Amino acid sequence: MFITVYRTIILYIVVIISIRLMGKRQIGDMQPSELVITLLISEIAAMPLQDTDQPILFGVSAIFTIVVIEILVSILALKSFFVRKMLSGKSAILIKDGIIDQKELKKVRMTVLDLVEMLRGQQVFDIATVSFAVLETGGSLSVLLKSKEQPATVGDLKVQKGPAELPLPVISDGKILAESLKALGIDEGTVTVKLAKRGIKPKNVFLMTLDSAGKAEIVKKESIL
Amino acid sequence: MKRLVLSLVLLGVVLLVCYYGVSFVTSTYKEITNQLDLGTEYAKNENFKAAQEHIKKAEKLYTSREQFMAAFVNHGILDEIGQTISGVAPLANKDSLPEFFSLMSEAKTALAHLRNDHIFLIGNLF
Repeated sequence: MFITVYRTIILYIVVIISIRLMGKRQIGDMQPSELVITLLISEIAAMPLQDTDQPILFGVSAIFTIVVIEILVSILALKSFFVRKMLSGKSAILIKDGIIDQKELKKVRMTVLDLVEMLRGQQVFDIATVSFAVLETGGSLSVLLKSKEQPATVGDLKVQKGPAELPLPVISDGKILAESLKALGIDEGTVTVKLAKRGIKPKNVFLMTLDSAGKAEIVKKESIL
Repeated sequence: MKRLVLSLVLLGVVLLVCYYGVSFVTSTYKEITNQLDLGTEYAKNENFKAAQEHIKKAEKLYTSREQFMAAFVNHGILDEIGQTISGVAPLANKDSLPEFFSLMSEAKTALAHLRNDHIFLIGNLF
């Protein structure tokens, strides 16, 4: 049993080193340590499932060990920049003021075509319009357009607009969601009154959303329509 | 902080279970090997009745603990050891002594492997 714990620790270190060696391109949107956790947990969980000769405790103890390691490592990463850098690497600025940093591109082992493809994914089709393009530690590309290329905001246009409201689901499939009511600072009565005004009973509502300004959206159940 | 405490508690539970598993397997190994050793001694002195008694004791002990050991040990290995031990007793007679010693040695080796798989050995890590 202890051997499972020891082997799990060794495997964790080995896989994390391998993923770090592979670099950003292979890891998609996850942080390297998150990917390691995902890979290990899915694999370990599958082993006792596939091989019924193996005690399930082997898998459970290994997964618990991984979880503990992950939490401890994430706490360490919060406290230490060095640990964070070791685990996740650091972001790389690939474009500055519309100019591609070829050295940096080589360092992260990306071709210019890869970069162009990633830019297109961000709806950017002209490199000259980019102020900064940063390859994040998770492998995604963040793009900041030059000021003159950025779309105008409400602030830029000096248009008066009320504060943005977040609509919360208050009824789902006929059931009133107490947590949403609490978040909105209202009670069940407010919701039933709103529904009564439209001649609907809560049990006949498929979805009802409400924002803090009192704006409601109601979708009736299909059998009622 | 809550997560850290919870994870440490989880790890504590896992380590306790591991410790209990190792102790259980080790003590079972010792008790069964002891009975098998006695059986071997009696067989060497041609006291086959006493030899069979001790081997049967070992078999009974193994059967009673096998199910619980299955929580800590690969079930296939447990089955193999069980079959080996149960094959020893019928060979405890004058006519099949060489086979008896051979199978007894096989059973003891398998039990030793079972224990060794659960203790800290460099070989187990790699």
